[in-house]
Amino acid sequence: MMKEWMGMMRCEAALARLWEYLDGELPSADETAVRKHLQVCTRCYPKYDFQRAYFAYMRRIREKETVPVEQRQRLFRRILEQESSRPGG
Amino acid sequence: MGSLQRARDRARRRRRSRSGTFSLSVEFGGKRGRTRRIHDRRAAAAAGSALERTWRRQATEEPHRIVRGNRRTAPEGVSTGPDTDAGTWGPGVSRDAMWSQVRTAWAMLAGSDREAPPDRERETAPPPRADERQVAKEGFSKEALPWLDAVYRFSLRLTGGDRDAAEDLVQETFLRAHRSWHTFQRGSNAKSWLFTICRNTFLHDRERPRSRMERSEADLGIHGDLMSSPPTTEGKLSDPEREFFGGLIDDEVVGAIDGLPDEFREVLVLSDLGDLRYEEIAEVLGVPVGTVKSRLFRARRRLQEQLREFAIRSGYVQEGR
Repeated sequence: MMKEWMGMMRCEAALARLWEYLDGELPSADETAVRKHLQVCTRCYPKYDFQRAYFAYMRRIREKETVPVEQRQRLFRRILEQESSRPGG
Repeated sequence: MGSLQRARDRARRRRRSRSGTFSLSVEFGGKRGRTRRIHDRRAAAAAGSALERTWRRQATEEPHRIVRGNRRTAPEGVSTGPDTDAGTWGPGVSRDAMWSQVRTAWAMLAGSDREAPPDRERETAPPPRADERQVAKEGFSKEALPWLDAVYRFSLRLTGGDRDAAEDLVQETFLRAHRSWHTFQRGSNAKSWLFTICRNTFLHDRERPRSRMERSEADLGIHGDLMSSPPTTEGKLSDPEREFFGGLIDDEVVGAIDGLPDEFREVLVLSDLGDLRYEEIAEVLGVPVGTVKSRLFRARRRLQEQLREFAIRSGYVQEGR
Protein backbone atom coordinates (compact mmCIF):
# COMPACT_ATOMS: atom_id res chain seq x y z
CA MET A 1 0.00 0.00 0.00
CA MET A 2 2.83 2.29 0.81
CA LYS A 3 4.30 1.88 -2.66
CA GLU A 4 1.07 2.94 -4.32
CA TRP A 5 0.99 6.21 -2.50
CA MET A 6 0.38 9.16 -4.83
CA GLY A 7 0.55 6.94 -7.89
CA MET A 8 4.05 5.69 -7.11
CA MET A 9 5.08 2.64 -9.11
CA ARG A 10 5.00 -0.58 -7.11
CA CYS A 11 8.21 -2.34 -6.18
CA GLU A 12 7.35 -5.36 -8.30
CA ALA A 13 6.77 -3.22 -11.36
CA ALA A 14 9.93 -1.22 -10.81
CA LEU A 15 12.08 -4.31 -10.37
CA ALA A 16 10.52 -5.93 -13.43
CA ARG A 17 11.73 -2.95 -15.46
CA LEU A 18 15.07 -2.55 -13.75
CA TRP A 19 17.18 -4.19 -16.46
CA GLU A 20 15.55 -2.21 -19.24
CA TYR A 21 15.95 0.93 -17.16
CA LEU A 22 19.65 0.29 -16.73
CA ASP A 23 20.00 -0.59 -20.39
CA GLY A 24 18.38 2.69 -21.37
CA GLU A 25 15.69 0.84 -23.31
CA LEU A 26 12.55 1.95 -21.48
CA PRO A 27 10.03 4.40 -22.92
CA SER A 28 10.36 7.82 -21.40
CA ALA A 29 7.29 7.59 -19.17
CA ASP A 30 8.30 4.24 -17.69
CA GLU A 31 11.83 5.45 -17.25
CA THR A 32 10.65 8.41 -15.23
CA ALA A 33 8.38 6.24 -13.10
CA VAL A 34 11.18 3.79 -12.30
CA ARG A 35 13.59 6.59 -11.50
CA LYS A 36 11.14 8.25 -9.14
CA HIS A 37 10.48 4.95 -7.44
CA LEU A 38 14.18 4.29 -6.94
CA GLN A 39 14.64 7.73 -5.48
CA VAL A 40 12.44 6.96 -2.52
CA CYS A 41 12.36 3.18 -2.15
CA THR A 42 14.96 1.92 0.28
CA ARG A 43 13.98 -1.65 -0.52
CA CYS A 44 14.64 -1.47 -4.26
CA TYR A 45 17.59 0.87 -4.22
CA PRO A 46 20.14 -1.72 -2.99
CA LYS A 47 19.11 -3.99 -5.85
CA TYR A 48 19.53 -1.16 -8.31
CA ASP A 49 22.86 -0.25 -6.77
CA PHE A 50 24.09 -3.81 -7.05
CA GLN A 51 23.15 -4.04 -10.72
CA ARG A 52 24.87 -0.76 -11.35
CA ALA A 53 27.99 -2.15 -9.73
CA TYR A 54 27.72 -5.11 -12.07
CA PHE A 55 27.68 -2.84 -15.10
CA ALA A 56 30.57 -0.83 -13.76
CA TYR A 57 32.50 -4.07 -13.46
CA MET A 58 31.65 -5.03 -17.04
CA ARG A 59 32.85 -1.63 -18.20
CA ARG A 60 36.19 -2.28 -16.57
CA ILE A 61 36.39 -5.61 -18.36
CA ARG A 62 35.69 -3.87 -21.65
CA GLU A 63 38.48 -1.42 -21.03
CA LYS A 64 40.96 -4.16 -20.23
CA GLU A 65 40.23 -6.54 -23.07
CA THR A 66 41.95 -5.20 -26.15
CA VAL A 67 43.58 -6.89 -29.09
CA PRO A 68 47.30 -7.40 -28.44
CA VAL A 69 49.51 -5.05 -30.42
CA GLU A 70 51.28 -7.84 -32.29
CA GLN A 71 48.00 -9.38 -33.32
CA ARG A 72 46.70 -6.01 -34.41
CA GLN A 73 49.73 -5.38 -36.61
CA ARG A 74 49.49 -8.88 -38.05
CA LEU A 75 45.86 -8.30 -38.95
CA PHE A 76 46.58 -4.99 -40.66
CA ARG A 77 49.43 -6.54 -42.60
CA ARG A 78 47.21 -9.34 -43.86
CA ILE A 79 44.43 -7.00 -44.78
CA LEU A 80 46.88 -5.14 -46.96
CA GLU A 81 48.12 -8.40 -48.43
CA GLN A 82 44.58 -9.40 -49.18
CA GLU A 83 43.91 -6.06 -50.75
CA SER A 84 46.98 -6.21 -52.95
CA SER A 85 46.16 -9.75 -54.07
CA ARG A 86 42.70 -8.75 -55.32
CA PRO A 87 42.13 -8.63 -59.04
CA GLY A 88 42.45 -5.02 -60.05
CA GLY A 89 43.58 -4.06 -56.58
CA MET B 1 -20.40 54.38 16.37
CA GLY B 2 -20.66 51.40 18.60
CA SER B 3 -17.77 49.27 19.67
CA LEU B 4 -18.98 46.47 17.44
CA GLN B 5 -18.98 48.73 14.39
CA ARG B 6 -15.47 49.99 15.21
CA ALA B 7 -14.22 46.44 15.48
CA ARG B 8 -15.67 45.66 12.05
CA ASP B 9 -14.02 48.73 10.55
CA ARG B 10 -10.63 47.71 11.98
CA ALA B 11 -11.06 44.22 10.57
CA ARG B 12 -11.96 45.64 7.14
CA ARG B 13 -8.86 47.87 7.18
CA ARG B 14 -6.70 44.93 8.12
CA ARG B 15 -8.07 42.90 5.21
CA ARG B 16 -7.41 45.76 2.78
CA SER B 17 -3.88 46.21 4.05
CA ARG B 18 -3.21 42.49 3.59
CA SER B 19 -4.35 42.41 -0.03
CA GLY B 20 -1.34 42.53 -2.34
CA THR B 21 0.88 40.77 0.17
CA PHE B 22 1.40 37.16 1.21
CA SER B 23 1.52 37.87 4.94
CA LEU B 24 -0.69 35.63 6.98
CA SER B 25 -2.53 36.28 10.15
CA VAL B 26 -3.94 33.93 12.71
CA GLU B 27 -5.87 36.44 14.73
CA PHE B 28 -9.06 35.49 12.90
CA GLY B 29 -10.34 32.00 12.62
CA GLY B 30 -13.21 30.21 10.94
CA LYS B 31 -14.84 32.24 8.26
CA ARG B 32 -12.15 34.90 8.39
CA GLY B 33 -9.54 32.32 7.63
CA ARG B 34 -11.39 31.43 4.45
CA THR B 35 -11.53 35.09 3.52
CA ARG B 36 -7.80 35.38 4.04
CA ARG B 37 -7.15 32.55 1.60
CA ILE B 38 -9.31 34.21 -1.01
CA HIS B 39 -7.37 37.39 -0.60
CA ASP B 40 -4.10 35.53 -0.92
CA ARG B 41 -5.14 33.94 -4.19
CA ARG B 42 -6.20 37.27 -5.55
CA ALA B 43 -2.91 38.74 -4.49
CA ALA B 44 -1.04 35.93 -6.15
CA ALA B 45 -3.04 36.40 -9.32
CA ALA B 46 -2.35 40.10 -9.33
CA ALA B 47 1.32 39.91 -8.50
CA GLY B 48 1.91 36.31 -9.47
CA SER B 49 3.39 36.83 -12.90
CA ALA B 50 6.85 37.06 -11.40
CA LEU B 51 6.30 33.94 -9.35
CA GLU B 52 4.92 32.13 -12.35
CA ARG B 53 7.93 33.14 -14.37
CA THR B 54 10.12 31.67 -11.66
CA TRP B 55 8.21 28.41 -11.69
CA ARG B 56 8.36 28.22 -15.45
CA ARG B 57 12.08 28.87 -15.40
CA GLN B 58 12.63 26.15 -12.83
CA ALA B 59 10.54 23.72 -14.81
CA THR B 60 12.50 24.54 -17.95
CA GLU B 61 15.92 24.40 -16.37
CA GLU B 62 15.24 21.25 -14.43
CA PRO B 63 13.23 18.97 -16.68
CA HIS B 64 12.09 15.84 -14.89
CA ARG B 65 13.53 13.34 -17.24
CA ILE B 66 16.40 10.97 -17.37
CA VAL B 67 18.41 10.05 -20.36
CA ARG B 68 18.60 6.71 -22.06
CA GLY B 69 21.73 4.70 -21.88
CA ASN B 70 22.36 5.81 -18.33
CA ARG B 71 24.19 2.69 -17.33
CA ARG B 72 26.73 3.22 -20.06
CA THR B 73 27.63 6.73 -18.98
CA ALA B 74 26.88 6.57 -15.30
CA PRO B 75 30.22 6.06 -13.55
CA GLU B 76 30.95 9.65 -12.65
CA GLY B 77 29.12 11.29 -9.81
CA VAL B 78 27.64 8.08 -8.52
CA SER B 79 27.15 7.98 -4.81
CA THR B 80 26.52 4.97 -2.61
CA GLY B 81 23.13 5.70 -1.12
CA PRO B 82 19.64 6.89 -1.84
CA ASP B 83 19.16 10.44 -2.95
CA THR B 84 18.71 12.56 0.10
CA ASP B 85 20.71 15.58 -0.98
CA ALA B 86 18.92 18.46 -2.62
CA GLY B 87 21.92 18.88 -4.87
CA THR B 88 21.57 15.47 -6.39
CA TRP B 89 19.31 14.49 -9.18
CA GLY B 90 18.23 10.92 -9.50
CA PRO B 91 19.34 8.06 -7.31
CA GLY B 92 22.81 8.93 -6.20
CA VAL B 93 23.69 10.92 -9.31
CA SER B 94 24.81 14.49 -8.99
CA ARG B 95 23.24 17.13 -11.15
CA ASP B 96 26.49 17.85 -12.99
CA ALA B 97 26.97 14.16 -13.66
CA MET B 98 23.41 13.91 -14.90
CA TRP B 99 23.91 16.79 -17.33
CA SER B 100 27.09 15.13 -18.48
CA GLN B 101 25.04 12.04 -19.16
CA VAL B 102 22.47 14.14 -20.95
CA ARG B 103 25.04 15.56 -23.30
CA THR B 104 26.75 12.23 -23.89
CA ALA B 105 23.53 10.33 -24.40
CA TRP B 106 22.08 12.92 -26.74
CA ALA B 107 25.24 12.82 -28.79
CA MET B 108 24.96 9.05 -28.99
CA LEU B 109 21.27 9.18 -29.79
CA ALA B 110 21.76 11.83 -32.42
CA GLY B 111 24.44 9.78 -34.07
CA SER B 112 22.52 6.53 -33.99
CA ASP B 113 19.30 8.12 -35.13
CA ARG B 114 20.98 9.47 -38.19
CA GLU B 115 22.21 6.07 -39.15
CA ALA B 116 20.26 4.39 -41.86
CA PRO B 117 18.92 0.93 -41.09
CA PRO B 118 21.15 -1.93 -42.18
CA ASP B 119 21.00 -2.60 -45.84
CA ARG B 120 19.02 -5.78 -46.25
CA GLU B 121 19.95 -6.00 -49.90
CA ARG B 122 23.68 -5.68 -49.52
CA GLU B 123 24.20 -9.32 -50.42
CA THR B 124 23.11 -8.56 -53.95
CA ALA B 125 25.00 -5.30 -54.28
CA PRO B 126 27.30 -5.25 -57.30
CA PRO B 127 31.04 -5.42 -56.72
CA PRO B 128 32.80 -2.07 -56.62
CA ARG B 129 34.51 -0.71 -59.65
CA ALA B 130 38.24 -0.29 -59.65
CA ASP B 131 38.04 3.44 -58.99
CA GLU B 132 35.79 2.83 -55.95
CA ARG B 133 38.12 0.38 -54.35
CA GLN B 134 40.28 2.98 -52.71
CA VAL B 135 37.22 4.63 -51.21
CA ALA B 136 36.05 1.30 -49.89
CA LYS B 137 39.40 0.73 -48.22
CA GLU B 138 39.29 4.10 -46.56
CA GLY B 139 35.79 3.41 -45.37
CA PHE B 140 36.86 0.10 -43.93
CA SER B 141 39.55 1.78 -41.87
CA LYS B 142 37.14 4.38 -40.63
CA GLU B 143 34.02 2.32 -40.02
CA ALA B 144 35.15 -1.25 -39.38
CA LEU B 145 38.54 -1.17 -37.71
CA PRO B 146 37.38 0.93 -34.74
CA TRP B 147 35.35 -2.10 -33.62
CA LEU B 148 38.37 -4.38 -33.47
CA ASP B 149 38.52 -4.51 -29.69
CA ALA B 150 34.77 -4.95 -29.35
CA VAL B 151 34.80 -7.91 -31.72
CA TYR B 152 37.80 -9.30 -29.86
CA ARG B 153 35.92 -9.21 -26.57
CA PHE B 154 33.00 -10.98 -28.18
CA SER B 155 35.39 -13.55 -29.63
CA LEU B 156 37.00 -14.16 -26.27
CA ARG B 157 33.73 -15.09 -24.70
CA LEU B 158 32.57 -17.12 -27.67
CA THR B 159 35.74 -19.19 -27.46
CA GLY B 160 35.50 -19.59 -23.71
CA GLY B 161 38.44 -17.32 -23.01
CA ASP B 162 40.89 -18.98 -25.38
CA ARG B 163 43.05 -16.08 -26.50
CA ASP B 164 44.58 -17.88 -29.45
CA ALA B 165 41.21 -18.97 -30.75
CA ALA B 166 39.80 -15.50 -30.15
CA GLU B 167 42.61 -13.80 -32.06
CA ASP B 168 42.14 -16.27 -34.87
CA LEU B 169 38.43 -15.59 -34.94
CA VAL B 170 38.95 -11.83 -34.94
CA GLN B 171 41.37 -12.05 -37.81
CA GLU B 172 39.07 -14.27 -39.82
CA THR B 173 36.17 -11.92 -39.11
CA PHE B 174 37.95 -8.82 -40.33
CA LEU B 175 39.48 -10.49 -43.34
CA ARG B 176 36.04 -11.68 -44.36
CA ALA B 177 34.58 -8.28 -43.68
CA HIS B 178 37.29 -6.70 -45.77
CA ARG B 179 36.61 -9.05 -48.65
CA SER B 180 32.91 -8.28 -48.43
CA TRP B 181 33.24 -4.60 -47.72
CA HIS B 182 31.74 -3.72 -51.09
CA THR B 183 28.49 -5.32 -49.91
CA PHE B 184 28.28 -3.14 -46.84
CA GLN B 185 26.17 -0.05 -47.29
CA ARG B 186 27.91 3.03 -46.06
CA GLY B 187 26.29 4.63 -43.08
CA SER B 188 24.63 1.49 -41.82
CA ASN B 189 25.59 -0.23 -38.58
CA ALA B 190 29.09 -1.58 -39.14
CA LYS B 191 29.33 -2.83 -35.59
CA SER B 192 26.32 -5.11 -35.87
CA TRP B 193 27.54 -6.26 -39.24
CA LEU B 194 30.94 -7.24 -37.85
CA PHE B 195 29.43 -9.01 -34.86
CA THR B 196 27.21 -10.96 -37.20
CA ILE B 197 30.19 -12.05 -39.29
CA CYS B 198 32.08 -12.97 -36.15
CA ARG B 199 29.26 -15.08 -34.77
CA ASN B 200 28.58 -16.79 -38.07
CA THR B 201 32.26 -17.54 -38.49
CA PHE B 202 32.46 -18.98 -35.03
CA LEU B 203 29.39 -21.16 -35.45
CA HIS B 204 30.52 -22.38 -38.83
CA ASP B 205 34.05 -23.07 -37.67
CA ARG B 206 32.92 -24.85 -34.55
CA GLU B 207 31.23 -27.39 -36.73
CA ARG B 208 34.14 -27.80 -39.11
CA PRO B 209 37.33 -26.59 -37.44
CA ARG B 210 39.75 -28.49 -39.65
CA SER B 211 38.21 -27.47 -42.91
CA ARG B 212 38.24 -23.88 -41.72
CA MET B 213 41.97 -23.97 -41.10
CA GLU B 214 42.64 -25.54 -44.47
CA ARG B 215 40.40 -23.07 -46.19
CA SER B 216 41.92 -20.12 -44.41
CA GLU B 217 45.41 -21.05 -45.40
CA ALA B 218 44.47 -21.77 -48.98
CA ASP B 219 42.29 -18.74 -49.54
CA LEU B 220 44.18 -16.13 -47.64
CA GLY B 221 47.77 -17.27 -47.87
CA ILE B 222 48.05 -17.08 -44.12
CA HIS B 223 51.45 -17.89 -42.72
CA GLY B 224 51.83 -20.86 -40.51
CA ASP B 225 52.63 -18.95 -37.33
CA LEU B 226 49.04 -18.18 -36.43
CA MET B 227 47.93 -21.69 -37.23
CA SER B 228 50.75 -23.37 -35.38
CA SER B 229 48.48 -23.71 -32.37
CA PRO B 230 45.18 -25.19 -33.49
CA PRO B 231 42.39 -23.19 -31.96
CA THR B 232 40.18 -24.89 -29.48
CA THR B 233 36.68 -23.62 -29.91
CA GLU B 234 34.87 -26.06 -27.68
CA GLY B 235 34.82 -25.82 -23.93
CA LYS B 236 37.03 -23.79 -21.65
CA LEU B 237 40.76 -23.95 -21.47
CA SER B 238 42.72 -24.24 -18.28
CA ASP B 239 45.10 -21.60 -19.54
CA PRO B 240 46.45 -19.62 -16.59
CA GLU B 241 46.76 -16.57 -18.86
CA ARG B 242 43.05 -16.44 -19.32
CA GLU B 243 42.92 -14.60 -16.04
CA PHE B 244 41.91 -11.32 -17.59
CA PHE B 245 41.22 -9.22 -14.63
CA GLY B 246 43.15 -10.69 -11.77
CA GLY B 247 41.75 -11.71 -8.45
CA LEU B 248 39.05 -13.97 -7.19
CA ILE B 249 36.21 -11.72 -8.21
CA ASP B 250 37.26 -11.60 -11.83
CA ASP B 251 37.65 -15.34 -11.92
CA GLU B 252 34.19 -15.83 -10.62
CA VAL B 253 32.60 -13.45 -13.07
CA VAL B 254 34.47 -14.71 -16.10
CA GLY B 255 33.89 -18.30 -15.11
CA ALA B 256 30.23 -17.62 -14.65
CA ILE B 257 29.96 -16.01 -18.08
CA ASP B 258 31.87 -18.80 -19.78
CA GLY B 259 29.72 -21.35 -18.04
CA LEU B 260 26.49 -20.00 -19.46
CA PRO B 261 24.75 -21.92 -22.22
CA ASP B 262 25.56 -20.61 -25.68
CA GLU B 263 22.27 -18.83 -26.27
CA PHE B 264 22.57 -17.00 -22.95
CA ARG B 265 26.28 -16.28 -23.14
CA GLU B 266 26.24 -14.71 -26.57
CA VAL B 267 23.35 -12.37 -25.84
CA LEU B 268 24.85 -11.33 -22.52
CA VAL B 269 28.25 -10.71 -24.05
CA LEU B 270 26.78 -8.76 -26.94
CA SER B 271 24.91 -6.55 -24.50
CA ASP B 272 27.13 -6.22 -21.47
CA LEU B 273 30.54 -6.54 -23.07
CA GLY B 274 29.73 -5.60 -26.65
CA ASP B 275 27.52 -2.70 -25.60
CA LEU B 276 24.97 -3.39 -28.27
CA ARG B 277 21.37 -2.30 -27.91
CA TYR B 278 18.49 -4.75 -28.02
CA GLU B 279 17.70 -4.07 -31.65
CA GLU B 280 21.32 -4.48 -32.67
CA ILE B 281 21.56 -7.78 -30.82
CA ALA B 282 18.38 -8.96 -32.48
CA GLU B 283 19.95 -8.15 -35.81
CA VAL B 284 23.14 -10.05 -35.02
CA LEU B 285 21.34 -13.12 -33.73
CA GLY B 286 18.48 -12.99 -36.18
CA VAL B 287 15.82 -13.20 -33.47
CA PRO B 288 13.04 -10.85 -32.33
CA VAL B 289 13.80 -8.15 -29.78
CA GLY B 290 11.50 -9.89 -27.31
CA THR B 291 13.64 -13.01 -27.53
CA VAL B 292 16.74 -10.92 -26.94
CA LYS B 293 15.25 -9.45 -23.80
CA SER B 294 14.06 -12.80 -22.53
CA ARG B 295 17.42 -14.47 -23.05
CA LEU B 296 19.36 -11.53 -21.71
CA PHE B 297 17.36 -11.30 -18.51
CA ARG B 298 17.57 -15.02 -17.91
CA ALA B 299 21.30 -14.92 -18.52
CA ARG B 300 21.72 -12.08 -16.07
CA ARG B 301 19.64 -13.88 -13.48
CA ARG B 302 21.90 -16.88 -13.77
CA LEU B 303 24.91 -14.68 -13.38
CA GLN B 304 23.17 -12.95 -10.54
CA GLU B 305 22.91 -16.12 -8.56
CA GLN B 306 26.64 -16.55 -8.64
CA LEU B 307 27.48 -12.87 -8.25
CA ARG B 308 25.22 -12.77 -5.26
CA GLU B 309 27.76 -14.62 -3.20
CA PHE B 310 30.36 -12.11 -4.28
CA ALA B 311 28.01 -9.29 -3.41
CA ILE B 312 27.41 -10.65 0.06
CA ARG B 313 31.10 -11.03 0.71
CA SER B 314 31.76 -7.55 -0.61
CA GLY B 315 29.00 -5.98 1.43
CA TYR B 316 26.81 -4.86 -1.43
CA VAL B 317 23.84 -6.70 -0.02
CA GLN B 318 23.11 -8.47 3.19
CA GLU B 319 22.51 -12.16 3.31
CA GLY B 320 18.85 -13.03 3.08
CA ARG B 321 17.79 -9.91 1.21
